[in-house]
Amino acid sequence: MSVDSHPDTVESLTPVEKKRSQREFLSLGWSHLITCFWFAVMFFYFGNVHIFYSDIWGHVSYGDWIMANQSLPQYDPFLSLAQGVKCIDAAWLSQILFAKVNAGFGVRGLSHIFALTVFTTHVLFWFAFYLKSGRVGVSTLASFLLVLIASSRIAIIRPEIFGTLCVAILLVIMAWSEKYDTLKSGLLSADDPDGPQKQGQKAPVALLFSLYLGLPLVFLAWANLHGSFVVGLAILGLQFLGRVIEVGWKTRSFVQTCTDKWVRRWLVVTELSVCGALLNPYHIDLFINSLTFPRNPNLKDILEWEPLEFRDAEGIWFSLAWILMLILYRHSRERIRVADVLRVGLLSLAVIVGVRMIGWFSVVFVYAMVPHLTNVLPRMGQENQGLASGLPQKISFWAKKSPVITAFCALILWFGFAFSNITTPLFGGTPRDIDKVYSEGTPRKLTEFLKGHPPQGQVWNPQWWGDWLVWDGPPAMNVFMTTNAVHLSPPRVWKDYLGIARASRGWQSVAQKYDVSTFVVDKQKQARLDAGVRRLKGFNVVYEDDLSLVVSREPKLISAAKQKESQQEIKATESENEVQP
Amino acid sequence: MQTKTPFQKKLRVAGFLAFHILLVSAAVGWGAVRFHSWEEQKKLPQLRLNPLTVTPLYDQPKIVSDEDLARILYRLRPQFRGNSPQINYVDHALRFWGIEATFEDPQCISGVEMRDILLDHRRFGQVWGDKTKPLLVHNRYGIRPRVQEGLATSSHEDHTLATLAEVGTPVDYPVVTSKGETTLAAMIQQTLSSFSLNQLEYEWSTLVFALYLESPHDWMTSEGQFVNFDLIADRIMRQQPTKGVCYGNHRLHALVMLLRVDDQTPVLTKEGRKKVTQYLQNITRLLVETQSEEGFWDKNWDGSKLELSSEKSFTPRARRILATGHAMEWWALAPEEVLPPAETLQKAGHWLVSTIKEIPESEIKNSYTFLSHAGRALALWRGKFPFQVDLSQQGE
Repeated sequence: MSVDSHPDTVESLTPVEKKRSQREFLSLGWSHLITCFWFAVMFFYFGNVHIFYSDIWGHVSYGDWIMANQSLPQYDPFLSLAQGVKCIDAAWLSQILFAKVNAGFGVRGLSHIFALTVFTTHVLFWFAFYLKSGRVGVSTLASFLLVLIASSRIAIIRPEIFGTLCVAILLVIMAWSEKYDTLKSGLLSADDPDGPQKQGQKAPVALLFSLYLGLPLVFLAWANLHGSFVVGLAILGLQFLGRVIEVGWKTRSFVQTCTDKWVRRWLVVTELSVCGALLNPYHIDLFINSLTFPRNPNLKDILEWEPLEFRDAEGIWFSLAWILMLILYRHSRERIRVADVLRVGLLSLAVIVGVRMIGWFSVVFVYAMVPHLTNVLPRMGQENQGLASGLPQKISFWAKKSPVITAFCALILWFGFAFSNITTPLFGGTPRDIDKVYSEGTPRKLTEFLKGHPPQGQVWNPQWWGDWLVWDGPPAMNVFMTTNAVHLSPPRVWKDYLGIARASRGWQSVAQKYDVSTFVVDKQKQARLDAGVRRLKGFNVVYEDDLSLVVSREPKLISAAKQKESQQEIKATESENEVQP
Repeated sequence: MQTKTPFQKKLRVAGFLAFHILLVSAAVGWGAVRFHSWEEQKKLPQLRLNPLTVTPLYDQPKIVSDEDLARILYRLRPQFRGNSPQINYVDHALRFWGIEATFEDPQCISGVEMRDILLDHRRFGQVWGDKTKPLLVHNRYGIRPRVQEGLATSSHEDHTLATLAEVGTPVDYPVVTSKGETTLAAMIQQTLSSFSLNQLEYEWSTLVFALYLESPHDWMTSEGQFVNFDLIADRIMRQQPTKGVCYGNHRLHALVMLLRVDDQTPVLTKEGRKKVTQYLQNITRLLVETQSEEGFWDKNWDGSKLELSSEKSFTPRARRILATGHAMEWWALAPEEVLPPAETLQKAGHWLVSTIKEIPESEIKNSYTFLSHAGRALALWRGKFPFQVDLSQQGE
């Protein structure tokens, strides 16, 4: 185990590169082309992601509420059944941001803010990997790996995207500092050939600013944007702990460990970051809330909070990631950093407990693997060349560079940029059809109907539509459940909600307990309940489309439905009469 | 110099460590203090030693005469001496007759004996035998009576406790379980701890809280929800009128009790009280409209179509006694502003009297629980608790 594991040059220099001419300066290689293609695809893809119908609308509604009331909600403002359950709004700043963007640019603005944030995040991840590896191709491969492992979690617009952006900034600064994060001369092993060089390396002022001022500011923003800031603090804290263990192991001296420059730096930076995170409306309560949040009993029934299933997509990717890690550790000559081991271990446990953490795992996993990929991949090529020993050395296919490739890179980047929906306002093209901005399952026709005929009593609705109903439905509609407030709902209400959703035995009397006067049913996902509500005594079908069904016992809704039915009948008769000769 | 430098270095390290340990300790300490205050919020509210009492407000001989009242009450005396008295009969009888009740009839058990069966496992064992599961059981929150698990258990959630509250049992009253002795406070704390605003039956729990809680402040349920009597009243008023146990009448009784407790110690806000009063006035209006010519109400007292498909166990007479007796009971305790016209009350009272007079003994035995509400209602309309009515002439 070593404390000095980082290559001190950004790009390894081959003899060919040393003779670089003006032409070669403008030449890019295949790895650059693939990287450009990768970024173009990401830019295009993120710009085309549909806005999912669930919790984003709850966040926008919260943002609107906060701005209208000029205060943070003490209880969930939209779920009367959660009245009295105190709410810590960990994402209040994201919610205001979403609400402001929506107010200014509409739903397309939300789509753009998502695309830009997530794309920037992935560019930053790539940059962090590049700082660690010094290789474009490896960084792109790492970026691809990250997206692959976290594939189930990257296309959802929610405050977590700002948390991921913050972790990307954190990794960039960490990767940068790891270039200087070496032992002092006295502690370097005598046989380390790079010792004298590293001895002279001093952290630049810009890096120190980033560490002592930048990171605390990142955490200040992060703590107000999303509850995932505790993951960031853990990443940072484990950097400190890893350094302590490495120095302690190497020197076997407590005093030397305590006087190590980077041990002290990481400690102070962690402390300053904690201070930054404490600057939020709830102060330390936010920390307690973030740490105790996963214990909420309602989350056990939410898919993304369930433990890892190795048969699911996340489980397969997780297992493959671990296999890759073991292979890389077996073949890599790069030293394994303790901080990386600690981080991968902690986040692996977190994923096993709740599959939702796979996104955070993928970040620390790939970050830890980058140096080993950098070490192993080039040697694989060399070993193949070694088989053909005796032949004159040729430049490998992947090392070739050409201005033609550069031109292709520019073209690909241009295509990715020009064809993305984000750039439509810049080029003045036809904006994306609004129907394509919303995801397919968004019950837009349903809310149109409800706005025309607002239910007065308790409405039972699928939780995944609750936020949309609050956002786009009639004002003050009394919804039963929202995705955004599952954790705020009293467990009994949540269980009763599930009982009705699954049409479990006795669901009718449970609904009676809440005096449900209108049912909104997702026809595709709730076939059993669909059949059940149609048979309910005293209830009539008042609305139906491809997605949704509404049954109600409210006289106003029933009479409206009857009126509509008779109008349709009249129209049908009229059209029949027109057809007849 | 060689020895001095390491010492200085060590001193610097010690200073560095001390500073950071202090800093981290301060943050952890702050977190611990806040976490403790979070936990403090879960603390249960204080209990008063003796529960509040809600006394009858009216004396209306036109509803029931002294003679009729005595006759009715005599017919409804608790003749449960012997083995295996149904526990729901015992707790209904205790609520009906009160702790002070004694009877000359040797077949009858006194109020004290009834309380002992409910709160002393040894006495329960004597009447139900050792093989029967205890009535009082322990769970993670404390002690509770078993509910709806057969004849040796209570019929409604927290009905037993509410009965003990209504008959004035102090919180330090000894309770003997199969595992040892405790006090009634342990049972009240159990129901407070396990209470959920959306549990199926909450009416009797409301009564327990209203009569036993010392302060009207909000408290946190085990579900992390802050509740108060306004919120509980809203919950009670949420359902359709006839939905709930005993055709929704327990909910109305609980609301009346909240108003009466609020008269003694404020438990409702001004708006909360107004909402409850208006709700009860609307219910009264509905009942006045739907009263039958004879004076009774049925399970469809809200004017809806009589739905008998789910009604298997009750005869029409039983249903009507249930609906009419319960309504008369909560009206007897209700403030004047929610009362119906005197004529409505008199018609209902006369129907109850004539019906109970004629009802066969066998039917009394089968319908004792809701007959107990009717009997209590008639006594309350004469400004008395049933034990205060002289029954000495009735046996002759």
